[in-house]
Amino acid sequence: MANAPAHTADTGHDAHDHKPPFFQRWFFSTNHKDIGTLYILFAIMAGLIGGIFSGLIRWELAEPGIQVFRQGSLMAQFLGWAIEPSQHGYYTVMTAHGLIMIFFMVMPAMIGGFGNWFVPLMIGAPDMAFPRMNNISFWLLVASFCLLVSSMFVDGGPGRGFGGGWTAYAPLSTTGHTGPAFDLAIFSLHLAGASSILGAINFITTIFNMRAPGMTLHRMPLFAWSVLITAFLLLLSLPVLAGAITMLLTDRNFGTSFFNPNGGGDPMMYQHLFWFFGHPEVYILILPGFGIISHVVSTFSKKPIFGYLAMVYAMVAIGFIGFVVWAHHMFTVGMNVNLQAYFVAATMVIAVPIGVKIFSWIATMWGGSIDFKAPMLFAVGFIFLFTVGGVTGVVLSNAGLDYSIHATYYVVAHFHYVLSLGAVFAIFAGFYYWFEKMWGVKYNEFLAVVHFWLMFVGVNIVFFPQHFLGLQGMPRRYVDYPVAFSFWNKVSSWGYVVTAVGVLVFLVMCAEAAIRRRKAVANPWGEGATTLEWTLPSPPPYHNFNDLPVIVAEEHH
Amino acid sequence: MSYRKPSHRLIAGICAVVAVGMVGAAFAAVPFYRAFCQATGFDGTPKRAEAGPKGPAADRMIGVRFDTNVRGIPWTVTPEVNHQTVRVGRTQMVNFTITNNGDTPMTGRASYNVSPETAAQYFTKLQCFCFSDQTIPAHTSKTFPVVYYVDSRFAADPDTQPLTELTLSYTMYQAPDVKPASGTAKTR
Repeated sequence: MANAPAHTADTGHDAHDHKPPFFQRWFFSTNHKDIGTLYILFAIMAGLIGGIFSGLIRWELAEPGIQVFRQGSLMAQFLGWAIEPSQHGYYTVMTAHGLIMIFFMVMPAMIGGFGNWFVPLMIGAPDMAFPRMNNISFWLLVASFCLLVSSMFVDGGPGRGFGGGWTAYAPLSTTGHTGPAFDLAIFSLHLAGASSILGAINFITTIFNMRAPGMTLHRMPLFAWSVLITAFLLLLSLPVLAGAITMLLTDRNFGTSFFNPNGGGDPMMYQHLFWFFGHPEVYILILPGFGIISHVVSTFSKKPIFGYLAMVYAMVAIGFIGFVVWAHHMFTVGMNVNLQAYFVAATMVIAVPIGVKIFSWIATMWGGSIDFKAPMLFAVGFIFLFTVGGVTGVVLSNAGLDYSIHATYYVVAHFHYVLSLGAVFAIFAGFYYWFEKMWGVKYNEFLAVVHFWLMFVGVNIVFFPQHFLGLQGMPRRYVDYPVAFSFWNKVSSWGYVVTAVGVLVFLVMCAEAAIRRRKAVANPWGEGATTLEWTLPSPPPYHNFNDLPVIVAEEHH
Repeated sequence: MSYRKPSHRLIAGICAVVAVGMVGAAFAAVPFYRAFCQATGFDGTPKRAEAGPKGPAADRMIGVRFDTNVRGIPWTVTPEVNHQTVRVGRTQMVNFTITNNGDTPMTGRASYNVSPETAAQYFTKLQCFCFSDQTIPAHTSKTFPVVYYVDSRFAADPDTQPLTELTLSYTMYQAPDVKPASGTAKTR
């Protein structure tokens, strides 16, 4: 964006840094950057809670038998007030881990956090289209999180909290959980869904209507594209989840029988509805990450992204195909062979646009002058981990193979490689890439690199052995397992320790940057960073682009 | 500012309509899914027919096992035999005896399913007590014939080649006073 006007001082009065007082600024915020910051802080908080939950899971699974989730254990003494020390408590923690990481960590960080911060900056808009609605989106999410947490403290039926997994399949979620805990979780999902739908409407309107003069859709940076496509997926899939869980709610409380065979319903239909939402949802989690990675790879290779249009339409294609493959989560329900063949083929087709993206990233790096700063390390780590997860995904997409590895740890390893490692590495790549821009201070490169290597080694030790466990037939979700599976489970749990140290280093890195307060520069990455946000000072003024930038160049993505 | 031609409200309004429409579509999926299962025998929903099998019987025998359950109603449901071996494409009959062990007359409804699900689309019933609600006086037994056939196309379907046996399962429960909100096609 060499020829977009640098942000010169403003027109007339100095409204730029006229910030409202603390309470109004952070609680009634209508500023896209402040709301983005709130989302990111919220995501870090939720991620730490979800991470502690995964620690409890790995602690329990470190050895066969039940050591942690039982009366009298260390966990019961310190966390017994929050988590029932029973097998049901384990299922509750597992359920909460999934829901928190999906709805309260990855989505807020990528869409609410980076999306709010950088979509308006990248397209040259002064703010989001509906700033107040943006505020509502954020606080609905906070309310939603409170409901989910409170559900852990009330009766679920088999024990305290809801333990039916994030999928909440009927009948376990209807007749299997008679207490009010799952009702609270349903309301939590309703609010989270409303929050995301409002956010999606906001992004679509902003991107369609508020691009700077000359910023055509085909000149728009890839991150903005990824958020636009994600917003459409949200808009089309989340209402279906809302409908499905409303049916669960009425089945549970008002005697309807949508999913109850006693009244002519069919539990299988819940799975269809859920996965019609659930499969696009996993692309919602990863698409903004694709956008972030494209920017980081391009910046640190000092080359424009290879195949910009192909990258855009690969994402569009992933979004479309994502809606017609849902039943590959349900191969074992007894579908006829032709239907399975369709879902196998459609699923495998997704590997094509994903491959376009992976190879385009590699082609961007090819021959580039690569600078392995922390964001680039995370981006390259992402490409590696996501490819591993993608390969196991193609394996799983075969219905014949899926019969034997369905609902085993192979599946767990697969979706953690693409999400826990893929999406999370993309978030960290974006976090370091935009660190100076967002916080106005520099991070410590050494700590960031240590964070990367600990995380990278740690998560691989956690999840790679789970492929072996899955192929050996260890089913997912259970609190206990036969002794035969103990070795790789032990290894996996040690990997968690390494990862946890990595997260501690991340927190130390944040604290160090906050204490030292090294002054940030507008563009720390040099010539490779070409998008509009780098033309603004770091942090950007409270009101950006009072003079809309005019885009004439061809080299902005 | 000509590039802002469609107003923010218009775009947001269209998006809101789409979101509401998708909620509607989720609920519309309920009757649609049921009709789809009825029409195709998908997901173990056996078919219903008015007339007997068309075409010649196939040269294939198949076992049919009968499974009966009751839920929340003091009835017993017993087939006269637990198992029949039938020729594919030929009409068969089996009697079920339903006894009301309670002290009051009651109305029961049966839901039914055939497994394996790949075979359900070929399992066709001509007559069944499950087609309507049944009222039985206190301490009384009634016998109901079930007339069915396995469609001869069963023999030609590669999905069903390994099968040697089907199971027809009934669950009898008290007919609700109100119609289930999610439609009634499957239980009628």
